[in-house]
Amino acid sequence: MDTNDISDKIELYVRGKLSADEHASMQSLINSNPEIAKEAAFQKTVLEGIKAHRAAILKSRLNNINTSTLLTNSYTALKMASVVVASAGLGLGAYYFVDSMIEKNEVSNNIIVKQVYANDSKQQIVSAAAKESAKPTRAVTDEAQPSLKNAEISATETKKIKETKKIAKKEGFFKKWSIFKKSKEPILDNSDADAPMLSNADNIDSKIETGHAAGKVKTSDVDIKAIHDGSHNFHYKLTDHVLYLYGDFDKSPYEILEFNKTKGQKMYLYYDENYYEMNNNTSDITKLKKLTKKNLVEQLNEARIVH
Amino acid sequence: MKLFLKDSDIIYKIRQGDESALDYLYKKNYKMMVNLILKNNGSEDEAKDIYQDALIIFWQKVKSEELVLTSKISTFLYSICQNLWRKELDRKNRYSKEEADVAYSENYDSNEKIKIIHDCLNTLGDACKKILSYYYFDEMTMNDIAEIMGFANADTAKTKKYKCKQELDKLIKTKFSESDFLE
Repeated sequence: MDTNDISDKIELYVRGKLSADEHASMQSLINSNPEIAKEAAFQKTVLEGIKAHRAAILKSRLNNINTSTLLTNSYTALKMASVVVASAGLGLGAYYFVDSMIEKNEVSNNIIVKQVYANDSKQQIVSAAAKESAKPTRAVTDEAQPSLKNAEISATETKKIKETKKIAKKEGFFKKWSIFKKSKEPILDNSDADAPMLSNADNIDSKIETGHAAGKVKTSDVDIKAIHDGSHNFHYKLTDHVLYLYGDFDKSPYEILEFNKTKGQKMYLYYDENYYEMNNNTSDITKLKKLTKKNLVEQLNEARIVH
Repeated sequence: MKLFLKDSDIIYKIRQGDESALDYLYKKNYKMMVNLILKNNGSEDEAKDIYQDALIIFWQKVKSEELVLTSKISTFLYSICQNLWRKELDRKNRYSKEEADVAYSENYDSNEKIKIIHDCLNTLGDACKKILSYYYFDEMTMNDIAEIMGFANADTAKTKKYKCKQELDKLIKTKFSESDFLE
């Protein structure tokens, strides 16, 4: 074996890429040859260093993400939202839409997938987590030992969530949807297709169809049509259960919050951290105006975060 | 990057080396993962650190195609965060201050070596850093490296990787020798 071969073998040995026989052979060579042992130890350190360097770059990338708006106290939000809903008797439908599919006034190949809030199913997550954690992890750490203790940790929260969801179901307000453009890229794994994590009793969204006419995104209660043809910027029209959104909504996902009051329906658009009120039967193309009433914004915020 | 990506799309993007998929995942699951740590006596900074490590483990497993995902990505990340945090709590509980100091000094050499390698990689320049990272950390094939780096073919990538590694080894050996890390 020449020097290059030995170097290659040492590297493969350190990376754990040798067959069992080759590994054993290299191990005995290392045991009997201090120079090879020294080189193997050196290569191990170098590879650890390269990995640590790459991990540091990725961590640095993540550290640069602004997280100030990502964390809210779900306990408080849940409590407050429950009070808001119960006392006001509101029906809330929240629709999440991504209009990445909306270009040149054309929407095609859309699919609708039920989006389930992970917090709503913490117990299932914990048990599934235990299964997953049995798998070995490489690099960065050698941790990942399974445990179920956190099921206890989340029990209180889960109970609170369930209580809130009971109210939600009774009032018939809880709906939540993600809509996005069907990827042209191959789907490699369908096992993750957002399998329902709620019980059947809670799964109130199951009637929605997938596959829709080009140009429209349909939900059970309202059709959304987004138009980005340059004619209007940030306008809307709402008539006959069809909401037309005019403008470029590519910057971030937009959400439609629908309140079914006894007096009638009220809709709000949430986009780029602001809320916009939309009036029913607005047959003219109308500019979206940002809500500035602090109390209303806070209430909408709480309702949106919880659902 | 499109928002509200399906898990399979995220996996696809990661396998393509699209780091924006990592950003997306980070933001999407931030609240859930950070709350897990916060509710278990951790600070937000600790939570971020753990969650970022978990994402990097996930990234690496996807890249190396070791991962056969049988649950949602968020479920998988949650389990990694749980385990990482449990280990961190164990470490905190196990060590008294004196013991922690001993552990620190024992890790000192190792940390110094990593720092030297870090400096040597920076000396080599961006192209070598990327090639070596893609090969050793992301475990990308030479074909993929050639594609992402814009090389003519896998052979070119292989030659460049070889030269970069040789140069890195040489640099590190010199620096280790200066720091008495080589006997």
